Amino acid sequence: MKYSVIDVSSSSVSMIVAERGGEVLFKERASLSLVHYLEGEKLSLSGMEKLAVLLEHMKTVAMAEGAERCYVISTAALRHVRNSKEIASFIKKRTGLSVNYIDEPTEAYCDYLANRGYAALDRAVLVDLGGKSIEICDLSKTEKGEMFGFEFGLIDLTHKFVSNIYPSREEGKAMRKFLNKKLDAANVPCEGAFATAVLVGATANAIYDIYADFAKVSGAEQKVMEYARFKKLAKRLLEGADRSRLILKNAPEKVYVLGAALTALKAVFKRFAVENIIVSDHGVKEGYLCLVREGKEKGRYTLLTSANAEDAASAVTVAVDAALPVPAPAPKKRGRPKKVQPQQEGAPAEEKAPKKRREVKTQTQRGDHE
Amino acid sequence: MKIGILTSGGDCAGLNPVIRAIGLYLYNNVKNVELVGIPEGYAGLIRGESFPLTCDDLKGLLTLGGTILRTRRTPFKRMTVMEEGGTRLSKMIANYKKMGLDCLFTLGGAGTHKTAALLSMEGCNVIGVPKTIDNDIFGTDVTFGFRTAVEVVTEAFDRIETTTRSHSRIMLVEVMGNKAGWLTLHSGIAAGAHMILIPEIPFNLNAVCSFVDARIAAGETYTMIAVAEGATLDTEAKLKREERTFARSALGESTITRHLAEVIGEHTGQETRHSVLGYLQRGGTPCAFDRLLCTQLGSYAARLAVEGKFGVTAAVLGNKITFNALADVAGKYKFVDPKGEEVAIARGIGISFGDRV
Repeated sequence: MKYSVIDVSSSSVSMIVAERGGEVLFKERASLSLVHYLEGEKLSLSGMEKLAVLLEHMKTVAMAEGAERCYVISTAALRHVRNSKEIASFIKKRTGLSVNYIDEPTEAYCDYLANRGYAALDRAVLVDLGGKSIEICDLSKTEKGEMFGFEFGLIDLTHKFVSNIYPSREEGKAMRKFLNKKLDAANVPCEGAFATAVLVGATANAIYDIYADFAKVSGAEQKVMEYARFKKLAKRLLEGADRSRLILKNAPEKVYVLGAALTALKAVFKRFAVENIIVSDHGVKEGYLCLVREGKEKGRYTLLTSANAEDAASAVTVAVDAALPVPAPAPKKRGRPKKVQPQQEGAPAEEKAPKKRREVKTQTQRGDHE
Repeated sequence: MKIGILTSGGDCAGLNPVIRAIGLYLYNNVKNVELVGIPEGYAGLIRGESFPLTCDDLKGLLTLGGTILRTRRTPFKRMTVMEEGGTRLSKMIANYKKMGLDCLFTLGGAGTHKTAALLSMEGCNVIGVPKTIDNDIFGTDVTFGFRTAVEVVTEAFDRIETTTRSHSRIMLVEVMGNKAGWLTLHSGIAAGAHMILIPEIPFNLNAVCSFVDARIAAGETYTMIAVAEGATLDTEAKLKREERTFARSALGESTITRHLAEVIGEHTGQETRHSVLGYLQRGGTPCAFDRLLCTQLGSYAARLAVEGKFGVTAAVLGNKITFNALADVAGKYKFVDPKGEEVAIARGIGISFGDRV
């Protein structure tokens, strides 16, 4: 059986289609800057409509890729919107898909599950900078309660400290001070605790894309950033004359949070004195899939291949199939950064190159089951 | 409130009606509004030029082709290159501030939207309105100027067809559209073309000749072929755009149309001609659909400005006027889906795309 997991974040809608064993077969991402569709603390009708159109598209692609179960998840991006229930019912009515809102500790745990293979690296810490939340996980810890989660994200930092699009030096300084204060309050370890930072999430990957363009890196087996080059890039993106062109070329949808992300990363890297920076392709979607398949999360899904597809409103909470084997993450085959010795077992599944999208010949069929 | 408007890139029918709609909305709904036009697109903003646009200036614009603001192409890739006095981008930002603008409307195509996104990222309040006869702007079902161009090309096709039929010729009509084939596809279908060649579906010479052979064998005396500027041979399709352009320029050509006409003529022995419609497609008064669309988009965009919704571009989605974030659409194009419904419909009635023998 193939699964699809669709994640609604504050700046994009992304999807994976994965095999029963956890191997990711297909990925798709579409930009949607939800911040433009907020009316106060609510997502506007036009925002909901845009979201529904994208989710419908993702569902169609998932079907074409042979996915049978489709989970839609959303983390802090929609969790913090005041009309999240209204959004869920609108999406349900328009697309037949049920939205699973994931709380902050679960999000952090999903990140951990998807990236636990990196635990073998030298004192590894996982950092996920989201629009409305930040997760920091010591990869040597395995329990959900041991992850650090913060109920503010890059959008909040931008709103709080940045008067324009990019933070000024003074604004950056204030932001770093605020962050360190929060990290101290949560007892996040300091210098020497971690040597390797594993960055997770769309913003981290966007930063890597810009880094690869900036540093002329191509065809790398693993996404690794050199700290010195990262610092140069951060300076260029915060102060350079062509900063917007670099962002527009590589990750335009991230422009409103990149300044905060770079500032936050600088603070985190300095705090931990990290020596290695790795950007992971695996995040909440892959982790969520692990959770539901391990029976730890009872996510609502839509069955995409049901013969009785007419009643879109009949989706109900699905009991996870407990008989499914616990997925064994595929052995890691990619190259390694210097100074680290990752383990072979338990590493994130290696991705295949996204397959060519197939033509969708039939109308969406669905039937949600309990 | 001081508002600037500029029109950038290639012109098309509908620019003036959009200027009119923006102006009328603002003058009717905002007290003490000051509206200025920026001449020659971003070039005018780089130079820091502007002139007042009064209510009187808006009269008669609904049916007027072209743009009263004048337009110019200003390549995006030059925007962040350091020149004397700073980058063009920095000059535009400085002039935006110097002019005291509260909002800048940018009427243009994909390139204009990219530069608009740049300005927005640097803190300028920008609202785009999607203009292009190519209809290739991502995130909107239709752009203004497209329908008028379809009308113009269809009418030209109709006229060329009568002479082609009279002389029993094969006629290739070259239509604008370098990256996307929307204009060729829509006008080709509307005009009853027998074959449509577009960039999204690379064609095969054998398939093209076989199709014409089959028509001749069936007793058809003439053949009409709509060719997009950016139509490519299947053998060329693997080349990068620059390589293809270089190879063609070595032959003294920028498009495939003339060469293709020669090949078909030699192969079939039938008199074969080609006609390049060129700038006809951009000029003239907007059709009724575009007048309505321009008024809707312009009025809606002005309302967005009043609401303080910046960094966006107006759009049409599912018969509704809405908006997209510039960050979500800038740098992206909307192409004809070779496996989509419109192509399938055309194939269904026997129109060839030159890709199947």
